[in-house]
Amino acid sequence: MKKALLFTGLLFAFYSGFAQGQWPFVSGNSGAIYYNGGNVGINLMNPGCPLDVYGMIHNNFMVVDALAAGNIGAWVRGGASGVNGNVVVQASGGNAFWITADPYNLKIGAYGGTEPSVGMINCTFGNTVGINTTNTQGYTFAVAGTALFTQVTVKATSSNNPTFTPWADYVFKKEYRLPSLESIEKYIRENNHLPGIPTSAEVEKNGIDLASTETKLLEKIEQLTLYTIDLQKQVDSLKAENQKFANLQQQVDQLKKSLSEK
Amino acid sequence: MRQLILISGFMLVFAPLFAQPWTGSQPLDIHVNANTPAYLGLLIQGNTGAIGGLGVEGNATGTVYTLAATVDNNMIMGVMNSNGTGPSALNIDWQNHVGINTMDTKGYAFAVAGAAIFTEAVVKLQANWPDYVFRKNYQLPSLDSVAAYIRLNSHLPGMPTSAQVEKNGIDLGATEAKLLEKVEQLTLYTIELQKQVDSLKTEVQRLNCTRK
Repeated sequence: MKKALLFTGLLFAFYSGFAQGQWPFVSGNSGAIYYNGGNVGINLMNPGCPLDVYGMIHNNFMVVDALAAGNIGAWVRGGASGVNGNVVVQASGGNAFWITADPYNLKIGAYGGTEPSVGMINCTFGNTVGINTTNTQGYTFAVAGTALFTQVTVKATSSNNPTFTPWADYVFKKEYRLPSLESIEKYIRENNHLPGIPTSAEVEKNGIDLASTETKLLEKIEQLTLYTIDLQKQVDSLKAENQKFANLQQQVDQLKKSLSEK
Repeated sequence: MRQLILISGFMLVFAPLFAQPWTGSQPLDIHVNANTPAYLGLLIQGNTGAIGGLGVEGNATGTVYTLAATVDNNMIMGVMNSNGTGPSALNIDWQNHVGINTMDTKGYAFAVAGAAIFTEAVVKLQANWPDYVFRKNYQLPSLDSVAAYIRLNSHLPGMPTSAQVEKNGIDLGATEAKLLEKVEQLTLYTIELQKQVDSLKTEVQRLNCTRK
């Protein structure tokens, strides 16, 4: 009974102490636990939320329930100007992979012992994504390095890609005017590249736009097919004409022969 | 009180045994230590109608980036929007498709809604690269048959039509292979034409000589 009374008394003392304000209830080398207006501060005299800890928390499993739409479950932020927010995930004995927010980028997946300056996947402030780079140069998606696909399709229309021209079948339309080979020769002599195809300098500056380039290459192939068909016709008619000459020559030879025989 | 002290002492002694040491140089605020393979370190769940998300922020601008699971079971990453529904910069849908700037990958494993830039992109085709055009057993179609096909269909044999491209887009690897096939065929036609022109030239030469 005495013990119970003592316990109750102690509880009361603790309770009244908490209710009154900051009151150290466990002291240790690293600080104290404070109770203030319904909030508990560990190593912190003025806790700003139900549990406010100054220092590291270590546990084995943690669940955060976001209660309403728009709530953030967990927020990791730089607590002082110029400090980035970091989350590190690491398997037992494995590499430490970083999820880092600097003021302009969310950087994911680079590993190491210190905060990476560039992630493997980077989501930028402008909602673009860069692989191995945070500088997407105005593109929605940028890869600094090589990329491998089993299949890639570019679905472009002139509305979502102004540099894209329609697939080149117009070359075979009746109203299409095939440029003369002479004009092409002149153009190449003057410009050192095919008409309508970007120059080395342009490609060096802007890269190769795959869909546009394939379309333009198809246009050139279609034009070349028409030139080739036409050339074959010219050769055929030359052959016929030549045959005619050969026949004439033969007749002339025969005439000469019969004349000389007379 | 004694129990409390006992527990605190116990924790002080044994905590280092559970904690896997952080080998990086930067100090930590929260350390979640998953103890067995089946454990998640940190689970963030949305209540009914709520997204579950992790906000990460660098201090200078107040821009919060989220890694969040949406109520329709997709994962979004990027600058946080007010309702957390996406699409965000990087989106992974519940069927593990990845979309950049879109949640709708149209069934593709990876989709970019917008322009993309690469230093190098490789498409590894499963079909043959068309060097078969130069094999001995390859039957080069006659130019007459190609001309007739073009007259009838207004596109090259084997190439998709404008209408197909408008509907399905340009399959880069396949189209490049078909363009190469056409270039190889044209090379063969050109070589053949040159031979015909050469023989015509010698014949003309011969005729000119006999005429003198």
